Amino acid sequence: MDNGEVLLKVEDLCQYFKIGPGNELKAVDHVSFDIKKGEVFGLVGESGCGKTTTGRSIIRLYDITSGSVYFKGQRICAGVRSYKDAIKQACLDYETKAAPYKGKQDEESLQAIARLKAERDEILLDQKAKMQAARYDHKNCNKLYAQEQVKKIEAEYAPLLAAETDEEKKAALLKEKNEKVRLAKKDRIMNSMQMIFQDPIASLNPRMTVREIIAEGLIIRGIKDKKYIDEQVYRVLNLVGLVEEHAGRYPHEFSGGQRQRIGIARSIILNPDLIIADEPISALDVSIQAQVINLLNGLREQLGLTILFIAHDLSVVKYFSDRIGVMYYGKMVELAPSDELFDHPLHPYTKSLLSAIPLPDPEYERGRKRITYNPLAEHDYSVQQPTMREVKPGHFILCNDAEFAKYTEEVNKVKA
Amino acid sequence: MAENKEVKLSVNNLKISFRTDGGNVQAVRDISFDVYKGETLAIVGESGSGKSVTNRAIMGILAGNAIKEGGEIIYDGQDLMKISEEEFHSIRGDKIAMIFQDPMSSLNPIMRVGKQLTEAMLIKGKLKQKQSRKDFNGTLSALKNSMNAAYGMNEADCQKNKTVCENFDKFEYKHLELENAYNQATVAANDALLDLDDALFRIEKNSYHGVRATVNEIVKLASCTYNEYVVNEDADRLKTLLAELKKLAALSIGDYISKGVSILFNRKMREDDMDFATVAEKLKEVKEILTKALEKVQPNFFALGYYFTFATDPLPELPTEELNAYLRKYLDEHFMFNFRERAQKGVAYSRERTMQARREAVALLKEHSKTFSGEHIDKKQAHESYLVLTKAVKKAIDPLEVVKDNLSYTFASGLNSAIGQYFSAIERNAKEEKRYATQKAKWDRLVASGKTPTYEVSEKNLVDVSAAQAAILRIFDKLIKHYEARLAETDFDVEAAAVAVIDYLKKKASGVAYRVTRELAKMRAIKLLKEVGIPDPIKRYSQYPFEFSGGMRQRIVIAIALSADPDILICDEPTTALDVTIQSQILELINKVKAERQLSVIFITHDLGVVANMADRVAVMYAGKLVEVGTADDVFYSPAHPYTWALLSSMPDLDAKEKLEAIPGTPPNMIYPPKGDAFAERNKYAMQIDFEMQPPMFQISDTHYAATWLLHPDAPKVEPPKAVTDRINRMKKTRSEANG
Repeated sequence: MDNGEVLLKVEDLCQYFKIGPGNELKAVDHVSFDIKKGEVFGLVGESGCGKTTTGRSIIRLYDITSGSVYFKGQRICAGVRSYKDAIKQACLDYETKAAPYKGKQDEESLQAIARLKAERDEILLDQKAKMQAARYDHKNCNKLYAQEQVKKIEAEYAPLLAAETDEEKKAALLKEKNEKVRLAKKDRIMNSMQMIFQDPIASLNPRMTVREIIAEGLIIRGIKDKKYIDEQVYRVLNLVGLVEEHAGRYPHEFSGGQRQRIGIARSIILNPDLIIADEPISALDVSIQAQVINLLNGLREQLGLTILFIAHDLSVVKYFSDRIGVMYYGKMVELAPSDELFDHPLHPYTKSLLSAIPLPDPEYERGRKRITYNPLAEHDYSVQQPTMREVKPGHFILCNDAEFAKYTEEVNKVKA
Repeated sequence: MAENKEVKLSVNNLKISFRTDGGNVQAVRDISFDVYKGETLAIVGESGSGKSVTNRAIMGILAGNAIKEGGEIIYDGQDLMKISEEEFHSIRGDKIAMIFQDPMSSLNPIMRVGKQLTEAMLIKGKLKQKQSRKDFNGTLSALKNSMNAAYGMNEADCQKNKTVCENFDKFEYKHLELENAYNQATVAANDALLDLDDALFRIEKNSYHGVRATVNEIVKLASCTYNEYVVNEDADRLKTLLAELKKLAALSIGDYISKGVSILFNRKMREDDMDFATVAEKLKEVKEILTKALEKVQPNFFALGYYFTFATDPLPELPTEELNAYLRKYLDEHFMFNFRERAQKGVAYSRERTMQARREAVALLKEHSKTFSGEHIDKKQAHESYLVLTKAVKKAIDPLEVVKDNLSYTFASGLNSAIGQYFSAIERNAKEEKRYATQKAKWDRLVASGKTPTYEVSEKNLVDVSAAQAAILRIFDKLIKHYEARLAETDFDVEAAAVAVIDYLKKKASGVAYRVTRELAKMRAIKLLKEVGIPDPIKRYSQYPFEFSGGMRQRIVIAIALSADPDILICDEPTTALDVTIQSQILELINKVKAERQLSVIFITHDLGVVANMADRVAVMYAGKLVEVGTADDVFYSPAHPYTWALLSSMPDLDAKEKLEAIPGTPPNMIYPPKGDAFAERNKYAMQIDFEMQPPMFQISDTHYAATWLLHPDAPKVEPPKAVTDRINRMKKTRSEANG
């Protein structure tokens, strides 16, 4: 499963929202992680910590403020705030450095100013180029992807066409190629990333039949073949455990679990590589939750899906995910394989989060003590700001130098 | 174990259905359970199993299309299924409060949170005062009367009794006034100390966000602590300190001028612009004063109240401890010994009389049950018996008993409705017979005349009269048994009973003295907000619900529910929409409040982890029926019903890696409930009998019951599924490892 190929790479993702004059809400703040092909990556944290925003930013429901997201090796979204900040900083630096020379006319001063100016301009040019590239990538990622696909098809058919001598067969081949090119032109990279929403009632259009809901993606992609569409719809319906008769019905005729299955069917019809599941079972009944988890697990094995699983039910996340990232107030504080995270949590917030999980064991519950987390009391970041560091292979944690030493000691103790 | 506890609420044979277009949906089908004082009963089940409907019936807020088919809900001597809406007003919210699942729909979106919190307090405050006064007067006069009777109704003793009661009435209020003032001051001091610690901590850590507001609040709180028995000698020093602090924390006009208007908009500037070193110093000084004040010994207000009201000499200057002893002695000598002695006699007399009345009532009940046990009940005779019996049973109620005797109180209404049902059943059956006879005659005539009728006469639809009669007799049996049990009791502690009556009177008196003003309501509301863990409660008090996050909203709903100081708290999935940290906080909050106020909690949820955390006892519901009831340990460590097994095994836990065992299918359609066990269709352990007959409740242990045929002696032995036993073993193992 873990072949090391990175499917999604998130770098320094920032998503800020404006709230009133001069104030910004840092919903997601410098979050970096990558998801390997075929794994399930869990994202947990309390409500309002930015896990849903992260998911929505990755799938481009928001325009991100800063950072980049790479999907299948291509940059799909990019923000420019960091470049702007760098430019601002360069200008400020220049002002402070040049201040002693300003107003003086002697040779030395003039030279110094010219040197500083050149330095600044170099930075400006560099950052501006990066900004432009980011803007271009952000805007044209789908177009670039489509062009690439078209090129691939051209390259594939060129030798075939050249080798073909029979006029009739050549015409047929050309037709086939043109159809493929037409579809490829409408292909988007974002098609291979799909989302499952939390509320199965709100996320299905009550005026559309299940067939229309599921087939919508195919139709937007430009497929006109009714028979093919029906085939595909029935295929995914079977995959999620519904039957063909259900295609003609409306969402209100289904129970909660079945509705969530429809949502899942809709998300897998375009054969995506990555599925972002935003609390897909929170709104479901207990007995149904297990059904949906089993279904997602089965699909993952059958289709080789990669899943970004966002949830607040930690026992489900533990059961389902390979690696887990813990978020707190817009920051990723700990990232580790799920067993490692649950067995040896390091960050105080993770410890507090784990201590809050209720288990179906009265005896244990009577003794369970919740650990409270007070960031002010736990961390002293007045000297040095924290960064993400690897304490142990695969186990990352947000800390500064002093804390890093502490955590490493803890890890070593566990090993011993 | 269970018998020793006081039953707060008891639900018996409750049946509720809903009228819909498709037919009657049978939501609750004959369930019975008791809720004891100070315990949490968790009701578990899928949506649609009838758990919410049961609790809505307890609250009296069933939807309009609900049909109450039968059963009773007994609370505080009343049957909640039968009382009128007006009577319900004094129970709903006041005695039984509810926390709903969706906080957004249970808050008014266009009303500020503070108003929603104080509204009920203000409206109910007056009513409560009135009610308390009524109860107080009633009990006191009952006590007086029985005292008089105990002393043989002679003139001199009657006069003495009267003065004693009047004196008690008088000084009781004085004492409460003093105590209320003291309590307010100490509570304010405690709160101020908490804030002080917070502010000092923040200043120490150089995190100034919110310090200014906290300081302002401390000033406000600390200025409420001037009281003769709290901050007394240091009052002047505290006053000057607070004035200085207020000045430091305020934004002066000079600030605006020197920094421009931008200070208004720049939060960071507003926050950081303070002389924190001086503030910290002053705060420390305030802390010293308050801590010292709180260490003082609390004076005996009860005795103090008496002294102030009746003693002519001024209060001697003594240290508090000696003063308390002195006051206590004074009170005992002048009043308490006398009062207690008289009260004991009164209580004993009242008890004796009640016992006599009960003996008579039992005899009467036995005699009159013959009226109802014959083949046919005479209507007139039944009515007469009813009148005689209600009178006798009413007499058998002891007015000085603090814990109400529910059965005696509900006897009249129960008997009345049972008799009514019997006679209406007879009437309906007669009508039905008549209809059938005429239609059958017509049909026969048609056949006789050689025609083939195009219709068929529908069968007779008769109501079971004998069942209605049995219901009447059951009421008799229950009461007779109850009285006989009470009569057999020998260990009656007169002293304890007298003390209980006096305590009851004190409690009621405090209800009278406690007047809810707008200012007080606001203070209480802010305190409640703080108690439920909402930061910055003063600012939050005047915000609208949409400005809060989901967890916060739920906390406000809990605060509203707690504001009335209820007896029973019903929580309808209060944490389903919240994440673990908040969930954990809210559960802790409910547990804390429960322990403090001896609340009975009914907790509805489908999260078994939460159940394990909260519940003392667990009731599992499926398709409108209770399938398993037991203590938390019973249900989690030795579950007996296949549905409980399925629930337990369908939930992932932290150590599970194997495939989850989902419950196949969906719950049955309750318009046509299945004939046998409702869970049979989804149950892989179902036997033939499960499809044909409903299983009764089998008793497994004293506290553990389950309704499944698997427990029948003839049933094959079936082990719980592996996932469940595995988990139980695993849990045991980790626990023993953790313990050493």
